[in-house]
Amino acid sequence: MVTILVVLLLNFLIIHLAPGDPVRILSGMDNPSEEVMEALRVKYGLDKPLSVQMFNYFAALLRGDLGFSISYNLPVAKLISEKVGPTLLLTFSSAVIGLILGASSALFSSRRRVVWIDTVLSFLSYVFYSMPSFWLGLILILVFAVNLHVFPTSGIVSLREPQIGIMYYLDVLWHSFLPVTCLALINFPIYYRITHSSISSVLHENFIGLFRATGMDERKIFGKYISRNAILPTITIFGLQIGYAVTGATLVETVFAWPGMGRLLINAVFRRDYPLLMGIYLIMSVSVAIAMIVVDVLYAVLDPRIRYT
Amino acid sequence: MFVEKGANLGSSNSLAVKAGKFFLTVSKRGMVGAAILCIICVVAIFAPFVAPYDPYVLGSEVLQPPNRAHLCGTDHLGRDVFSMLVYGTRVSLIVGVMAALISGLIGTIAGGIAGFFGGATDRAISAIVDVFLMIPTFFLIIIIVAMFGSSFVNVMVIIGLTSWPSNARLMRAQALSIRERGFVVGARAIGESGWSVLFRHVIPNGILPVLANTIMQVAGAILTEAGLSFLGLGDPNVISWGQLVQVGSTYLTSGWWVSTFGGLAVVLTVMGFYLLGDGISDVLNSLSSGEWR
Amino acid sequence: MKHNSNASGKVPSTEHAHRISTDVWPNETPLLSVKNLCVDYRTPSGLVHAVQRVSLSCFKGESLGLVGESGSGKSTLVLSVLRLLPRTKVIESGQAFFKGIDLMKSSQEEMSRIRWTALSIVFQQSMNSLSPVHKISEQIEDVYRVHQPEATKAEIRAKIYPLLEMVNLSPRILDLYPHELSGGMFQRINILLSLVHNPDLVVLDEATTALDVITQGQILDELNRLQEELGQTFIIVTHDISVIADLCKRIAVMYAGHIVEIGNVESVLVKPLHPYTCGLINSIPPLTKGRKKIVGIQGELPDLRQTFAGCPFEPRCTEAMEECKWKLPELKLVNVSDGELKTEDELRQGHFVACHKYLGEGL
Repeated sequence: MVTILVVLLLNFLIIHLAPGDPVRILSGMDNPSEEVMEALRVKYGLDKPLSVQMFNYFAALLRGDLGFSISYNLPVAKLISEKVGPTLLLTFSSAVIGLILGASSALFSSRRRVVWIDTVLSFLSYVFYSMPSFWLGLILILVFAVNLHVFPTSGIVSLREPQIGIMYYLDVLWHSFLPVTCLALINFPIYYRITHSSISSVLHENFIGLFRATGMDERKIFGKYISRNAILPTITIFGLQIGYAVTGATLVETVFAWPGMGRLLINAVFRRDYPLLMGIYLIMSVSVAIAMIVVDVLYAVLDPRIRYT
Repeated sequence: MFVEKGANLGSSNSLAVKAGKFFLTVSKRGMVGAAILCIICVVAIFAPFVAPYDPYVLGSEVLQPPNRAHLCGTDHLGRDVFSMLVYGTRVSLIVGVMAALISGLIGTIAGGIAGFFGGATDRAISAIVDVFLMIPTFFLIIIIVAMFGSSFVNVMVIIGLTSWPSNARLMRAQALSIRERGFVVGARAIGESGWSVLFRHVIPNGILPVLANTIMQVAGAILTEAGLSFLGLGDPNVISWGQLVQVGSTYLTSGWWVSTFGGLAVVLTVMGFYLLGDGISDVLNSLSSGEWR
Repeated sequence: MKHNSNASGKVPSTEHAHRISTDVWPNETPLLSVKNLCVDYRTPSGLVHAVQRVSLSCFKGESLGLVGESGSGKSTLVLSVLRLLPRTKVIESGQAFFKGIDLMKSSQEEMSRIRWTALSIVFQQSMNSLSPVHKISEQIEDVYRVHQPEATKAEIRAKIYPLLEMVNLSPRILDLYPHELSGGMFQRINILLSLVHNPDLVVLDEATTALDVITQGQILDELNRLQEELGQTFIIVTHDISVIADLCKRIAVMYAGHIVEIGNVESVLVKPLHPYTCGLINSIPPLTKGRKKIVGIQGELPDLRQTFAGCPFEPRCTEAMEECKWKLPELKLVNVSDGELKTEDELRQGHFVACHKYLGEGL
């Protein structure tokens, strides 16, 4: 909990740590006049002492006020609420797909023990692990959208022919296919690796030897005992990935012109829209913190050893 | 997976050769990684000799697909893509290695101090580490680079300064267990100063997992730098692979080779580092499993 | 994960293997008879000869103790008999007749049929001998159902309750998770697991080594009770002679992969013959008599990668003779009791030793 407070504090301080006069930065202009600077100072309360500013900051947070975006001319909170949806759609689905792909292929390859399957999967996992997400996105667009015309090249909806009702959702689905595939492929090796290494270490545990000695069917040992034990670290990682869900996939969003948090962040950076930046960063940090708490709880549910500590 | 055991070491004299052979026989994937990286390093060092053209020279053959004269085609300014790839190795390697070095140094020292000395220092450092590990670092990097400028050195330093906590955590865990060991307790008992013990005994003995992690961080740094360049936050004056991908993306349909080869170079190099890092982990595991005397 | 399997989940049985779990074994023939068993480990630095031409017998109702220091090969011996060693890492030869079947020649399927129904093992207690994320009851049921797939929960509970009582465990333990158990309780569960199908022979491989003395004492009492009330036969592998003295009828002493002495417990412990056995016994402080000087055995175990021509104990032996250096002594019957032994009783009650000191004597 303390860490959340620290993060919030840090957020507040960033604006004061940046090089240059914060007022000038806030004005977004290179050479603002004195009146403008003074007006801004009053508006943002920068003329008051630091402690008062901090108080105002936290008070505003509690009200749900995250500031006002200079470049969009909208409240930050409104902007974020609009963009969070598409990002979450992207990150959640790709995390789930990546988890299913990665974990099941690791389980499958450990169970079957065929050397070439293992080699191929490992190779694929290294390749995708080493791949820049934006590059994969570009390749996917090139192959499937441009050359094969199967999927759209960008955006979340067809702007030229807007759809309604169920067609709207199908349209979104169609648009999300490539970006989700891209992120899922990037995520796949994370889950493959953790599940694979986790299975390897479980296989060396003593109870596996014991159950084998009793003559227990290998399928049962694997399906019940190995799986249940090995899946724990994987679920933990999944939880953390979900935590980073709001932070989104800035690079993928940029490539696919996906209207999410990531693109919002980039725009804020380039436009030097500090209130917006701070707001986004705040939301991101808080969501990660919450996710970590959720993961701790989840782990306690799954692993009986943790429950009583 | 790729681990091979059970080979005879043979009789070689020098320790380095023995260590090398040992490494090779234990981890196939480490070997592959090392091989890839050797090639990349050679290319980086001998770039002027490997590259057929000067990558900065603008040519007249604009947007040529890969052909005999230009192995990977040319970009919209007539520059040879292959030469740009070759010179790009230098940028990627330097950024990656330096960032990882900064991260490794700070992380090792901070983690070592925290784990070895304990107490309030430990609590303070661990708190900082926890905060950092919670913050989404990629975005922190984006914000800081945007604020402080996107020069080559900046990018390197910022990546390094945001990734040291994972090394610190590793080193701290190592320090905690090593400080209880006989030779450390003994060294303290004969009066050796804490700092001396830390740097001469504790850190060297706990460095291997941190080393593996740091190598993975080189890979991560290269990916991060590529990402920054792609977003337009990289150094515009140097040729980097990320920049290639970004530039190429603006005319993807008419010149697919620019982005494609730029990204492939990243994939290959990063894969080399990941393989090498895993190789070191393999070595660690086989050492601790006591298969060797 | 979808699997194609050739069986419906039942282990295919062979003629012999099926009979083996149901036949009642007579008392006169050895329950387990090991002949010339050799086990070598393949290592990066060469072959390690862990067990060298070991022969011994165990009779029904008469527990056998196998004692020796770490590295003597005793665990390897029993694991090999149970066919639990990784096949790619070991080379095994010799015979091990259990209820008439040579285990060394049995297939994996046959062994699966035999293990746990007629022959089982309890390993040294360690934290992860049971799955940490499943309840005890679940794991016991799964082990039970390996050989009785149709058994209901109620049947299993009925079977388990008397065993729980015999090892002094409350039935409440069934709903717990492994990490909630103390070391002693955990080991008792392991013992219980080994007994669920009424095996003829249970091997205890260093089963009490990791426990404190008091718990060890309690468990030994429980094992004694199992012996008396159920007629259970054990093979106890340990480096602690006191454990054997309590429970076993016969004792075999191992050194560097060889059996150096074997005989009735009273005989061997009161009048040890082999210099190594003497050394072992002399290194135990006496409880009743006055303080005695404790003498350890100097030197260390030989490198098992080498093959020796002579007796492996020779470098440490205080009574070594010239012969000991180049001639390996055979295990021979030594007549220490009064009166002759009938030939049928030799294996059961005879005192054997492998030492040149006694090879001149004999029957």
